[in-house]
Amino acid sequence: MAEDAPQSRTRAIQSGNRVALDLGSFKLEQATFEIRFPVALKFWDSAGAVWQRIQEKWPDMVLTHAEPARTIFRFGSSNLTIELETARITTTSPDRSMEEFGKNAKLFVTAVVEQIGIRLFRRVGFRPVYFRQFDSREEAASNLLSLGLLKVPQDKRFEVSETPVDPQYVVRWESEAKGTFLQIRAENRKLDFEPPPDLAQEIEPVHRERSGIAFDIDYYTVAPVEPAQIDASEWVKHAVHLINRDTKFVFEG
Amino acid sequence: MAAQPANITDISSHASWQSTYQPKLSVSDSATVIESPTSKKPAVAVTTPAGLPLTQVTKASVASSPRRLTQSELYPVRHAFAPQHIAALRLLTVAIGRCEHALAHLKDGQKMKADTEIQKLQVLLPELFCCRSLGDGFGTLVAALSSGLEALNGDTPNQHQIQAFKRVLTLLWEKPFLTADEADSHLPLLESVGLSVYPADLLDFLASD
Repeated sequence: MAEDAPQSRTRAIQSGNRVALDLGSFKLEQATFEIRFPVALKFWDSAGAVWQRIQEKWPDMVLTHAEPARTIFRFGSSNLTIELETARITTTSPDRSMEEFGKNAKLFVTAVVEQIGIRLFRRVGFRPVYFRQFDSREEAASNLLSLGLLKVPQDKRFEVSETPVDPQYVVRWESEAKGTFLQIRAENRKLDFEPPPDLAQEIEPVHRERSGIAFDIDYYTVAPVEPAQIDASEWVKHAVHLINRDTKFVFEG
Repeated sequence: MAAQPANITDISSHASWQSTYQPKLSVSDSATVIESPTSKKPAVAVTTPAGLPLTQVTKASVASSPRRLTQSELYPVRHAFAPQHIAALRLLTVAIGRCEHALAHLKDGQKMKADTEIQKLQVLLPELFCCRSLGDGFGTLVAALSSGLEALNGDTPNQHQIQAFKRVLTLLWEKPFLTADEADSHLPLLESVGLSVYPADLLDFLASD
């Protein structure tokens, strides 16, 4: 007799295919370095100058968005964004050590600071996102719950007898100086791509689902920082080291 | 997907992520959507949003702002330091200590001991200059300190001059990545106490024309 789906799902979660987890078993999916500053009106005058300076370093970068208060360029797997109060570099699949990412962040931030004349960072943030794929949504949930970070009742709740899916663990540490926002989520990602009609014969539609655990950590400053105090490349190195060192508790139960 | 709260480093700007992935995160097609003011489309850029605070940061406001992060708060992991960064911080700490000792000796009337401390400070400067890859401003100020001491021709600097040395060294300790322009803006601090901030050879060369 075929077992029904809810029972199967509950069993998968309770006795699911649990694996030993540590941050090393996660893929580094994305990293972002961001500075925030008081409204920099000079950006309206210097947008061309700052992007031209950045273009000298990355000649192949491509404009993807431009309006007076926000410009975005892309080079390789990185996006560079400058707004009136923010500048940010986001890289997909950076190298694990993030050395190259840190160097790129330094180049970008130096150009922004010098061309726009920024004198103070209100906030500096570094946010890597790691992802570990699992075969199913249930398996991802099971593995996250097995870390023991969350206390979840095993019996029927809200008229639902199945064990919860998509659990999340979210915690923030913050002092007057710095803060860290940690999110660990079981996710089910859907990719639905329908090519435009005129390309339908050339490109196949894509419909794909991926389940896994996202390990998303945002390390940031709370107290203001002056540009002369910080070297983005150095700061990212320290942040990576801290993240590797201080997130072990998640996996050690 | 709802907009990220303002206190999170934004990662949602990646074009490929936005256009191709529809990640099922905390707010997704399976979650009850809450209409939040932050999820509204921001005003288009032609008109500046009315609520935008037009606060330009001036030098005065930077100086009067709340406390800054210290180097040890910004760079807390000893293993992660670049060699020139940690060497610079170590040498600067020693150099600032030399200045403090020299000032204390001058206060006690022990000029010889103060002079010994300044000589010990002077021998630290070449090694400190080797850390100039931290930034153009770093090299500029260390070279200015070195020139200032050399121009004294062996005389013991007075109390004001030692205080100026200490202030510049403390500035470098707090802001080792300063630009050449920022460094130049601090040179008058040394010049105002009678110290020459340029190498004697350079001054001779300029005078010879």
